[in-house]
Amino acid sequence: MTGGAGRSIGIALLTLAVWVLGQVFYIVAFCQPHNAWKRVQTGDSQVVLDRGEGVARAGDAIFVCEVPHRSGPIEWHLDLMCYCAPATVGADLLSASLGGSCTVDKLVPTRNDEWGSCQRAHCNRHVDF
Amino acid sequence: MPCGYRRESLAVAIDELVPPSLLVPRPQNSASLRRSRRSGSVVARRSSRHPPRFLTRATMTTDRKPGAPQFVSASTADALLAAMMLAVGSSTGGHLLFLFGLPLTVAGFVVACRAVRNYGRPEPPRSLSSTYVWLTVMATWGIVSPSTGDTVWYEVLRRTYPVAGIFFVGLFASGEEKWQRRATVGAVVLGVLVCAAAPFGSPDPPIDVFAWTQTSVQALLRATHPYTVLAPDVYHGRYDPGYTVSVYPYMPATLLAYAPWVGVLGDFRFALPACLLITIGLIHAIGRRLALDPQVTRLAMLALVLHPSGPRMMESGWTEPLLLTGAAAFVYLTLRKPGGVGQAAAFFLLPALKQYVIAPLFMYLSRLRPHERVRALVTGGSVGALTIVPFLIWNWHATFSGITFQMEAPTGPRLGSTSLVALMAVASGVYPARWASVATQMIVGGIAWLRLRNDGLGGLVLASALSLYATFLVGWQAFVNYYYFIGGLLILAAMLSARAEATA
Repeated sequence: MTGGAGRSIGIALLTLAVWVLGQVFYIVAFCQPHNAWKRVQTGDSQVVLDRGEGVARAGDAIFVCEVPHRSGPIEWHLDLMCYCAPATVGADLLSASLGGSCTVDKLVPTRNDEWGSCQRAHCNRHVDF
Repeated sequence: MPCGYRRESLAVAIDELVPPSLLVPRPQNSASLRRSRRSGSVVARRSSRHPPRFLTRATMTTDRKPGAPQFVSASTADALLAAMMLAVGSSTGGHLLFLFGLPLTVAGFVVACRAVRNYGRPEPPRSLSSTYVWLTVMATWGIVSPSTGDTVWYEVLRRTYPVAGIFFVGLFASGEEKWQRRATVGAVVLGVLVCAAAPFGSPDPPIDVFAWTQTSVQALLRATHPYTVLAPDVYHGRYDPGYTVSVYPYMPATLLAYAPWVGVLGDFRFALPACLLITIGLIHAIGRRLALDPQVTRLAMLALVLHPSGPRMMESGWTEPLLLTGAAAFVYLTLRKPGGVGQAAAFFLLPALKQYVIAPLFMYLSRLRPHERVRALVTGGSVGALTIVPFLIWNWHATFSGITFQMEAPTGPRLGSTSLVALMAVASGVYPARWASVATQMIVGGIAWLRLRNDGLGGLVLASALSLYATFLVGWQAFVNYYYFIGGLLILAAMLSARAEATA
């Protein structure tokens, strides 16, 4: 009985290790916000986000923010993301809140926008104040 | 030795060569044999004349000794394995969707295809070692699986249960009958309780399925047509999945099934843990009726209750637990009375509950003799019609709009789907048309049915599972709830495969 339980615990720990390694592998190799940051840095494209299901709510502005990608105490790299937040919130307050550096991309985003960094009113995350 | 089991005697060594499921079953007493004769089970008679060629006197026992290795037929092992890989794969979202989730889901499909290929063949038996490993992986994945949005106490509870599940699987893998029974009972009782607590732990989940179903059922109870009400936008405009729901997008049968629960308990989601419990009971009854080694039945129960997204299914109010109960009821009723009206009614309830069950209905009807087909069509069709026609008479336009809503929405693939189409859309922006998934269901269902059409009830369930599996792999929308039902079908197929000769 104890052998079976011990074996199960071992498999569970291994599974969790695989999950953690998968997360790390994603962050290092596939992180989309970091890829967006790299694209902008190299000048390949200014588009940070143009697809996805997250969109600006009525009254939201869209901000482009450069934020460090952290997992606890580990800081992996810089990400570039689109944030939807109430238009009344300034870039400074949002920057302070996220611990990064934000600029306004669109004060009144629409679903037809095909310009700027965050197109068609898409955003990676929503922030409420 | 797999799972650290010790070979204790020559008798055990001989047992290792033959899966208990392929032996003459212990409970196949005179009463059950009489049942087989009454039901005209052709294959049962054939198999009694031609028992498996590797069946020997020395192996005609299902009594397991403590620590003995355990084996099942190849197709049973494959179907169980596919169900568990699918459970893990489809429960993987976020960053790991295309890294682990989709590859595992595709791998599960390949294993399910292997189960189809091996079904009914005298393949060498398979050890259950990998089953225990995957059960543990399933349970562990529940610790890190995504949630819908719970209270803190429920978040802790739903992630603590898998920890207990890991321990239960460990007990089960010891191979001792006593511990296997206790581990199964413990996992089932705790699992059902955790699921039953979901409506309390997640009283207002931020998911449109909940808002729509609750609002529409409440409307029905107020004698307002449920397809004419508008549910609140739980996302508050944050998300655009490619459609704007303006009408209840599910089948009327779901409203009827949920109405008593809303009327009495105020939340339709209480129906879902009840369904889980009924399904577990039906699996137990199916196991007894098939005279399975209890271990196979218990494995089926564990594979269901340790699903990493089990509690999430309940929190979100997804309908698939209802479908799974319907499928399990169909299997049980068919075994009990193959030509009865109950099994036809149960099967027709599946498309009456969810629009995507298409190919299985054709397979089911093609399996019947002409006079049985007419009776099934009359019985099942009546049951299905009873759930739809009153709503059509009440307001046909609204009802029709609701039932057909998902044929027009979304406008593009959901990028968070566990599907190859979502991967294509993310990687290249190019993807097949919406109808490709329906065509795939018919094509894969047809191919699987060609292989399994003579394999009785198990063949039908396995072919149905494979056709639906393929549908969602190439679907625009493919989330864990769809795969939950398919996994359940694979589990039922695994049980039927374990006693295939008794199910035709």
